[in-house]
Amino acid sequence: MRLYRATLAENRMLRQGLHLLELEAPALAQAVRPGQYCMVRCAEEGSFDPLLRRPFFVHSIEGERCRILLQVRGRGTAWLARRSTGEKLDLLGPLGQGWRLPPRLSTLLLVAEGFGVVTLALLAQRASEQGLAVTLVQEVTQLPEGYPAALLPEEVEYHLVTSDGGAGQQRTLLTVLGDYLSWADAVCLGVSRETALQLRRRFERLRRPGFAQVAVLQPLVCGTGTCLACALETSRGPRLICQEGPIFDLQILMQG
Amino acid sequence: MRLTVELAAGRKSSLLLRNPVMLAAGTCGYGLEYARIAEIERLGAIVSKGTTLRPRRGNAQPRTREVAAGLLNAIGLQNPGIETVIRRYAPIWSTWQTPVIVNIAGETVEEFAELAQRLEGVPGVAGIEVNVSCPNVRAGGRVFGESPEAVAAVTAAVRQSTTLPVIVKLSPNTGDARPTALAAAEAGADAVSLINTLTGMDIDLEARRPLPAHGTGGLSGPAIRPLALRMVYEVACELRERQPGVAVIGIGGITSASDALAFIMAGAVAVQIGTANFVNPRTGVLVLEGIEAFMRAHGIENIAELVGAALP
Repeated sequence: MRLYRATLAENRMLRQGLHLLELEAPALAQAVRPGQYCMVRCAEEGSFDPLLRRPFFVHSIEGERCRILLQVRGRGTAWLARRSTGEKLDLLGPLGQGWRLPPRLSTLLLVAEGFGVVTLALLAQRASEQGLAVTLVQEVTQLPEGYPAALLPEEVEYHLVTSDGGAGQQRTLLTVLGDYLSWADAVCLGVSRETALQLRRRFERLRRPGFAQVAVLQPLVCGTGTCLACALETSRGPRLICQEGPIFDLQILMQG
Repeated sequence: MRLTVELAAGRKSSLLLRNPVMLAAGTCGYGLEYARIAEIERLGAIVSKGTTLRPRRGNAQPRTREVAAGLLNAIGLQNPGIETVIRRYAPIWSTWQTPVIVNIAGETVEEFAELAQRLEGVPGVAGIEVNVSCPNVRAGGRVFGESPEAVAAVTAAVRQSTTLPVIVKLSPNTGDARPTALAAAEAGADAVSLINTLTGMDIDLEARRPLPAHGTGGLSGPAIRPLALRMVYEVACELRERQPGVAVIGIGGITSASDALAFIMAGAVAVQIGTANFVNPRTGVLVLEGIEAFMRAHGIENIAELVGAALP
């Protein structure tokens, strides 16, 4: 964990409300592992509104540059989306524990619900660099919300499921995932806690020890394990999402 | 340049700090979480997370709510209990130059006394801060912190149970902290620290329920600074008149050296940085450097020249 002043090298709007920020952050690029995140100040220096940092996953890394995929959701993200090339951003990271893949893996299934795909993007990059066969299945409500597939490494297979039925019949992760699970050696879920629990109930394979992990997302305060705002009850006792997560073994996840 | 401050100078239980910048309870854990990044070894002191006799799991989620320039929290005193703190953290603190003050929270007068007794003679524990003002635990903080008699009873019990410096952390929820400050001082406190958080609330419009889930939360952050400053000023005036040996420690929305200097000029011998640690864990060091720069720029040799400089 370190504090960085990273220079914004590029701010590309992919579509309304969706930006790809590219930061000059050599030490972070070197240190961060898939599933770790950083806390970014989203206010002018000396301004304290909004007060708290916002957590962002590193989306991808190219050389000494880290990219962050940013969806505008409130004042903090809106401020960040307005930054121009050359401006400095204040980052704290890398934080948390990343995805922990089992050894001897050849196929990896990534499952996302909406913008939860950001938890998986760097993992997709790293896993395909290591020669794993990677498939990403994403459920969105409507087609335009899909992940910009051009951002994925070419080797990654990308399947989109639309729950409003826009692309034909209505399909959800619950209806399609069975076909993929038998193929995968491990599964990483970037979905809501409710969906993760539904999937675990529906598919026996997801209940196997060490097979599936899930990113648990919620607004964070400190990111460093000091404020205790993000305590998560698990079947193995309380865990801090910011420090011991945000990635957890699916087996220990409990109803919120 | 002299930055050293002494809490309760001349008393047996006085505490010497190398500078007036402390980190507040609940915002720096037990000091280990960001000892390195926050450069804790440069600070005057740190105050531990509020600690109870037995471990506490804390409140239901959501425990916090960000508001304009502030934060509502209802963590519910989640902590591993005093025995674990003594066993796990005190041996590490005993190797530090920076004093660690343990913040204690009890549900009865006897519990406060027992907590103080447990900490007596523990290497690595430099003082006690008595949390009479945590507004989140129904059976605890609110009852004690809002009545001068209860504050006096808790302070006296802790005073009798320890030779360590005793700081009583006051609630702002009475509107006027002078009666409780005076009660703590007369019952043997070496210092009072103020303010703790203000009880507040937000509403989740979709769920039509209060936030945090506990129902109310303690408001902290820059939003509360003017109110905290006014209360520190009033208490400093009062204690100067009636209990001049008792030090005042200023807390409430401090994010910069300017904020800290305002509290010092309002009569605080030292300050505590709280919520700002969540925004930048190095705030304490930045505040310290800013105070030094201010003193250089104004030709001030001793920080004592600034303490209470704005009092009438």
